[in-house]
Amino acid sequence: MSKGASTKRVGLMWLIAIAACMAVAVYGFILSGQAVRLEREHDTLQAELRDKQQRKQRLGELVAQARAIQVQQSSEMKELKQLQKRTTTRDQFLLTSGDMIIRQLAVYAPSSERRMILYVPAGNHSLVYAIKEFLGTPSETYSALAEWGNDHRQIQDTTEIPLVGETVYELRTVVKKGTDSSISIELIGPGDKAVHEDSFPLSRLAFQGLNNWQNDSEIFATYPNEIRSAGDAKTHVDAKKSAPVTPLLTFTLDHLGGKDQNSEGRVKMRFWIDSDSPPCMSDISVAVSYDFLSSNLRHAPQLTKSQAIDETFQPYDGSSRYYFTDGYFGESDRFGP
Amino acid sequence: MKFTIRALIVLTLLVALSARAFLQWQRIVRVKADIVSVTTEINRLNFDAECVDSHTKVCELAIANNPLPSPYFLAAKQRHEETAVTSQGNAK
Repeated sequence: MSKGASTKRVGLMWLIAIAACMAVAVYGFILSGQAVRLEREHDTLQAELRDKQQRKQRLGELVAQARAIQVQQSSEMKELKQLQKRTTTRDQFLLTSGDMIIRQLAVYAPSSERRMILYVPAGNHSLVYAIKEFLGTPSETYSALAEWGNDHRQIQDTTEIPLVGETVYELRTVVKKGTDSSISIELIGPGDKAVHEDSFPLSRLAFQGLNNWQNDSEIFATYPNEIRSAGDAKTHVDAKKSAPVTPLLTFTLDHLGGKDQNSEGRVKMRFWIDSDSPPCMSDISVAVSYDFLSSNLRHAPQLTKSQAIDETFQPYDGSSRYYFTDGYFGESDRFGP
Repeated sequence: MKFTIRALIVLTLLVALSARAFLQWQRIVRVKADIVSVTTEINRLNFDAECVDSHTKVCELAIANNPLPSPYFLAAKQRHEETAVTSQGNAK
């Protein structure tokens, strides 16, 4: 091999080696740029993830705090129940302020009567009640008894007593035994004066004794026309499409002996408060059950959860309640604009 | 001798550059894996941001509006204490 050819070959080898070095260097440079770009993208995604985690965590903490408030409010009620467990008259009732309807059954009332102490907040409210006799054997009257009054607004022949706001009342329901059985209703207002007195004679039934009374000494506090839970709201919207009332008491007198041997039946009483306040939910309830509400209250899948809440409730007015939008519960002349 | 040294330098350079490219490639693989993992986590947390903000606002307002103990509860307790003091006075 000549010296010239050898020099040429060596030169070619050097050229290939340098070209390879350059190619690898360029490839490394491209990879480096790609890595930098991917790292930037990674950093952005990390920041987005951190932000989402923080928001979710903050929301979780707030919901837990709202739940704790709900629990604490319930504890306050239990403590109040202890403080006024011997309350038998309206003068002894401790809860005389606030914007909730508060009621408690007096535990130490005579056995033939039930007394309920009731505080109503400012606003226009009426105590409404209805009494109905159901004649027939328990199996014959079972379904009619269970269904009667499930929708308070469908009940006929009610008695309505206007109430003064920010006042404590005492509701006495007295049952007279014997062949002249009757149920008398008395509402005591300010100054221990009777605001309402009425008697309901049990025309065809002889009352033998107090049976199956609702023995409930808990204190209940509720906003007028409040829907207590998200589940209630959904059921209400689906099933009734009518504005709610504030239920107070439901009594059933059963196992009544007839005045003659052939008659048998039961008596059912329902008491509730009708208010001109729009249906509402407490803000704590909305906070705790927001996800459930936003998914279920409006049957409009095209709405986002936030839009569903906006569609369901009136704009928040800074009170401790969220009011449902007008007409949410269907056609109603009570809750006009 | 001179040739051998030059060849060694070029070879070293080639090896070094290849090693660098390999490291960059490794880096890309690692970052891509991280991106997949972060994206998966984001998708898992994929919530309606507007809804979370709205829910957060609802919670903040509800918490601010419901001081504990409740004012009506405090008023009832005060009333109970006053009644108890009056009862004790009457008993004496």
